[in-house]
Amino acid sequence: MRSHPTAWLFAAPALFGLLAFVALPFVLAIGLAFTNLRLGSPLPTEFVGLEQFRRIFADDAFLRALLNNTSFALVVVPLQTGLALLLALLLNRRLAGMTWFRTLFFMPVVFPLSLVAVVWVLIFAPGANGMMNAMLEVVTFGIWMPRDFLHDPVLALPAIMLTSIWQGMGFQMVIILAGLQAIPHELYEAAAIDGASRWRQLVHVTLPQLRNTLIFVVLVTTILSFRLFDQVQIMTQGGPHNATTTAMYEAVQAAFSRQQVAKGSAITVVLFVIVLLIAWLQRRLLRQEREIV
Amino acid sequence: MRRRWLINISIYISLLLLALCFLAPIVLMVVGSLKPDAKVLIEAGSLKAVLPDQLSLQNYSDVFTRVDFMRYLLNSLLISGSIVVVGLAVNSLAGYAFARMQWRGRDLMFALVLMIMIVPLEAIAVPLFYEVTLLGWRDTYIVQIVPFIANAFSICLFYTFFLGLPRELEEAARIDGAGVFRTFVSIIVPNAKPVFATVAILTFLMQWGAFLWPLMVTSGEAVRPLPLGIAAFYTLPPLQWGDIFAFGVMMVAPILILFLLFQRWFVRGVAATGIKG
Amino acid sequence: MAAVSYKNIGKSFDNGAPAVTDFNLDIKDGELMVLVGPSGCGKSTLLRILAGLETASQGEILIAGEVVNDKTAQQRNVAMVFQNYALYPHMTVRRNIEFPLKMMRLAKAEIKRRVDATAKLLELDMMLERKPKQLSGGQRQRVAMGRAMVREPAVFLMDEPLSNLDAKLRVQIRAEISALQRRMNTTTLYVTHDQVEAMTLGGRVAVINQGCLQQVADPQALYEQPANIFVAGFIGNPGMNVFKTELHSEHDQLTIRWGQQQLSLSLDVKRKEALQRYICKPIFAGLRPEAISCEDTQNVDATITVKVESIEALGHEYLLYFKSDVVAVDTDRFLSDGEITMRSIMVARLAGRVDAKAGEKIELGLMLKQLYFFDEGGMAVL
Repeated sequence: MRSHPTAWLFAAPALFGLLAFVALPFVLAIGLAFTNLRLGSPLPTEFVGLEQFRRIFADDAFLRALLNNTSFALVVVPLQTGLALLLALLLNRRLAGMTWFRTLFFMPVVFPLSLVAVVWVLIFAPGANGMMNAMLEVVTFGIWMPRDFLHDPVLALPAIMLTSIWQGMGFQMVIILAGLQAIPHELYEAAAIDGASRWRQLVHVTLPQLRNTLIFVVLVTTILSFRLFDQVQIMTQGGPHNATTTAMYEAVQAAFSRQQVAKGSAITVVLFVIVLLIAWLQRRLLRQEREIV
Repeated sequence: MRRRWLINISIYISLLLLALCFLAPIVLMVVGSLKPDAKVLIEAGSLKAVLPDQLSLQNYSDVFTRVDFMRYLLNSLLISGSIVVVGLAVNSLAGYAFARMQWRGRDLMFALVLMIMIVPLEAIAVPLFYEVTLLGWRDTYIVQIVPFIANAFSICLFYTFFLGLPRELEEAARIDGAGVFRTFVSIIVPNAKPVFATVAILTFLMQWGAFLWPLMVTSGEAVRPLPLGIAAFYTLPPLQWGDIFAFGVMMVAPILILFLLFQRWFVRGVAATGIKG
Repeated sequence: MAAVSYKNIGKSFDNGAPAVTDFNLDIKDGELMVLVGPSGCGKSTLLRILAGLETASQGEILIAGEVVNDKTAQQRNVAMVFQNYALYPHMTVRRNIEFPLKMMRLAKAEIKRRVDATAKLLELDMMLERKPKQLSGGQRQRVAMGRAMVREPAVFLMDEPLSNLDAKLRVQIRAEISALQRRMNTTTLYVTHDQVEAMTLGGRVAVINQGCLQQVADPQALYEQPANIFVAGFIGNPGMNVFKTELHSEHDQLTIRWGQQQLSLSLDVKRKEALQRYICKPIFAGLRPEAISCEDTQNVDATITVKVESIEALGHEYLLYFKSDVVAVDTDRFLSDGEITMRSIMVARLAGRVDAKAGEKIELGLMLKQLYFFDEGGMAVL
C-alpha cells in the first residue's frame, strides 16, 4: 500500500485535539507540579523541585483523601462487581422478562451523577422521616435510631459508596453479561456431558472464561474510585472533617478555592501515577493469561 | 422439572426484590416532583413517598420561574450535541486513517493514542484549566466543547471496527473510481452504522453528565449545563425538594427517552467498552 | 479494448520475500487470458498490480501500449470482479451498478441507459431495487459482473469469481462468462486456482508457480506438451505421475529402468535423437494416469506389478493409488526447493471396474508411447 497524502488530513484534527488538550496538559501537569505557580500571586513562578510533593504528602487532608479513595475502592469494587456478576448470571437465562430487568438495572447508568447525588441526599435525609432511616428502622424492627448520614463521620463515606454502587452497577452488569454471552455454548454442553453440576459449571467454565472481563471490570472500577468527585462535591463537600474528601476533591480545592495551580497539578500527577499502576497491573494480568493459553 | 420451576420462581423473586431497591430512588424522584414541596421530605420515610395522595405539576412550572431552566437545557444540548456530532466526524476519520492508510508516523501516533486512552480527565484537569485560562476561553461554550472532541477511546472503537470491514469494499470503490474521501463517505460510513451509534451514545452519555470540568471553567449561568444547574438549584434557598426533583426529572428525561428508544445500542455500546479490555 | 503487457514485473512482500519475479506476459486485445496456479503463487498479486491496487517493485505495466504504472485504478480504465464480489451492502443492485458511472460523472440519462442495458444483458432487470443480501450467490455474482461491465472498461479483471459458488452453478456461470467475454470481446484476465476451470474457459492459460511464469499455452498444448514437471503435475486431473529413472540404450533400443525391470521404449526417430544425450544419466519420466491401464489393450506395451494403496470410485471411472518400485516426484514442490521431494504413491485412472483391495498386488499395463521426459532441472525434453 502506498502512503496516502490524504491520510494526514484524515488524522490531523483528532491528533491535534489529543495533543493540545490531553498530551500538552499532561506534560504541563508534570511541569507545573515542580513549580510554585499560584494564580494571582505576586510571587514570581519558580522551580521548586519536589517541594509540592513533599507538601501534599505532609498534608493531613490529602493523606485522608488517599485513604478515603482506597477504602472506597476496597469496599465498592468487590461489592459492585459481585452484585453485577450475580445479576448478570441471573439475567443470562432464557426466561421471560429478562430484558425488562436488564433495562431496569441499567437505567441508573444514564442518570448524571450530579442528579443521582442530589436524589440520594434526600434518601439519606436526617431524622425518622429520611427514607434510609425509615427503611432501616423497619428492617431492624425498630432498633435502628435515625442518624444524619451525610454529617456523620463514620456513615458519610459509606453513604457515598452506596450512591455510587447504585449508579454504576448496571454498567458492569452489561459488560459482564456480554462476557457471559461470548462464552461458547459447547463448553457448557461438554461440561454437562461430563456430568458437571450447575455449580461446577459456574466454577470451572463460567468464571475462568469470564476472567478477562472480570479483570477489566474490577480495574476500571478501581480507577473510577480514584477519580471520585461529583458525589463528594454535591453530597458532603468532603466533610465532615475530611471524612469524605478525595484526591480529586483536594486537587480542585487547591486549584480553585486557593488558586494553588502547582499544588493541584502535583495531586493530579500522583493521581495519574496511581491510575498508571492500575492500568499496568491490568496489562500484566491479561498478558499472564495469554501465556498460559 | 418441578425443581426447575422452583429455581425460576426464586430467580424472579430475587430479581424483583433487587429491582425494587434499584427503582426506589427513581420513583422517589418522579413522585416527589409531582407533590407539594413541603410534603416531599416529610413523607420520604413513609409509603406516601411512592403512593402520593395528591399530584400536581406545580413544581415543574416553579422550576421555570425560579431558574432559567431552558438556558441550562439548551446549553447542555448545544455542548453535548456539538461534541457528539463533530467528534463522530473527527474521530472516525482518524480511526480510518489508522486502520486503513499508510502514512509516516502512523505507528508512533497510534501508540500515543493508546497511551492517551488511560489518561483520565481528572489527571489533567488542573493544567488543562490553566491552559484554557491562558487561551482566554473561560466561561464560553468553546471551552466545554473543543477539548472533548478528539477522543482516544472513540478513535480506538472506530479503528477496531474499520479493521474488520472487508478490504475488498474499498478496493472495489477505488477501481470504480472513487477517491479516498468519497470512499469513506459513500462506502465506509454507511456500512459502519453500528460503531457510529455506539460512539455517539457513549459520548453523549459521558457529556450529558459532565460536572467537574464545567464547574471548573464556568462561573456564570449563561453557559453552564444542566448538571451544574441542578447543583446550583439544590443549594438555592429555600430548599424545595419538589422543585429539585422536577428539575431532575426534566434533566434526565432527554437521555432516558433516548435510552428507552435505543436501548439495544446503549447496551451494545457499554459492552463494547469491555471488549476492548 | 486494449492489449496488456507485463514487462519484467517484480514484487516483494512486506517482509522482503519475492511475491513475483521477472514476470513477462503479453495479452492480446480482446483475449481471455487465464492465470492459474496454486494458492499463494502470486497470480492474484499480478492481477492487483494490473488493477492499480498494488504497485510493482520492478518492471512496467502496459495497457494499450501505454505505461500505466503511475496511473490510478480509474485512469487505467480497468474493472474487476472480486472473489467475494465486494458488492456495496448498503446499496441496491441499481446503485451498485451505477456507482462506477457516477464516479465517471456521466449524465443521468446515460447512466440509466447503460445500467438498464447491462441489467437486461445479465437478466438482472427484475431485481434492480433489491439489496445484495436478498440475492442468491449466483445473482450476486452477476451483479458484480454487471458493475464491472457497465463501465465498458478496457480490461476486465476477475479474481476467482466463481469460488464462492457451489459446484453446479460454477459450471453454468463459467460457460456464461466465457460466452459473454467472446461476445463483448473485451481483454480479460481471469485468475483461478482450479485447473479444470482454467482449461475449460477456452482462452490461453498462463501457469504460475512461486511467482514465476511456468508456461503460457492453449489448454490442449498445456496438457500435451507441458514445459516442465510443475505444469505436468498441475494440469490434468489427477496430474501426471513423474518418477526418477535412468535411460539406457541396448542394440539401438532405448530402455528405462522401473525397479528391477528394464522397459523398452518404441519411440519415433525424433524423440530418440533428443534423448540420446541423456543415455546412462538420471532423467525424470512422466506418465499420465490415463496412460496406465488394468486391461491388456493394444496400446499397452509394458506390464508392471504394483501394490494397491487405495481405490476411489468416481462412478464413471476409478482412481487407483499404488506403490511401485520407482520413486515418484512430488511435482507441486519440484521447483520450490531446487531439490526433489519424493512421494511414493502414484495414481492410475481406470475406466473399468477394479476388483482389488488395499494391500493386494496387481498387474498394470503402461502405455509407454505416451511417456514424457524431463531433464534434471525439470524442463521437458522433446
